[in-house]
Amino acid sequence: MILKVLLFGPQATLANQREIEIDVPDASVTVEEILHQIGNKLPQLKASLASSRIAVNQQFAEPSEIIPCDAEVAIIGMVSGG
Amino acid sequence: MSTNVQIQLIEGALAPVKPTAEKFTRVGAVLQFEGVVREQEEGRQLLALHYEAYEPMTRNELEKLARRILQQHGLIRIIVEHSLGRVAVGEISFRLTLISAHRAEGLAACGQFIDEMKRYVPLWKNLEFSEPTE
Repeated sequence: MILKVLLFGPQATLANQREIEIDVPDASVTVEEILHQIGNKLPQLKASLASSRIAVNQQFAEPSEIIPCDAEVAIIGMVSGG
Repeated sequence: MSTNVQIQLIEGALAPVKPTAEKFTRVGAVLQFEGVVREQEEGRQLLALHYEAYEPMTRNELEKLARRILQQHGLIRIIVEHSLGRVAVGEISFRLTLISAHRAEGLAACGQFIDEMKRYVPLWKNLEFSEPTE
């Protein structure tokens, strides 16, 4: 299953892209696993992942949550509003 | 829709405004915080910041945060304005207006709102320097 993950701000700049594709083995991938996969695919983001969160369908998701295969997924990290 | 909480995401810099007392007999304090783009960042000369949001999640999270802060501190009203896109040095990129019966709850709410917004709300700034990086 290919999962698309949206990136924003400095993380998009570090990755040099606004969307990445993560190949997941099955339809029961968790948020925690996706963060791990993002770090493997984009080592330049590893330092920021510990303080990043995953949004599933524009809602913050807990690490143990399973991501639906048709969900909109985004990594929310290095935020700097205000 | 309740008018106690108002969220605005505005393209470009925020226009300067004077805080005015709301026409509520209970109002004893009107606090207005403005975030201004500094001229230096990371020790380098800045030209502007470019703000980015993830809509509608950004607006939804600002609304949830504002409602929680309003309720927690017993405020009368809270208005959040944040720029999107390019905001030059010296211009206003963020404005938080808090209306309350007394100053104590307004001051406490102001600090808490900004701390939490900076910690997790999906808003990002990209830096435009006067000299490009090597």
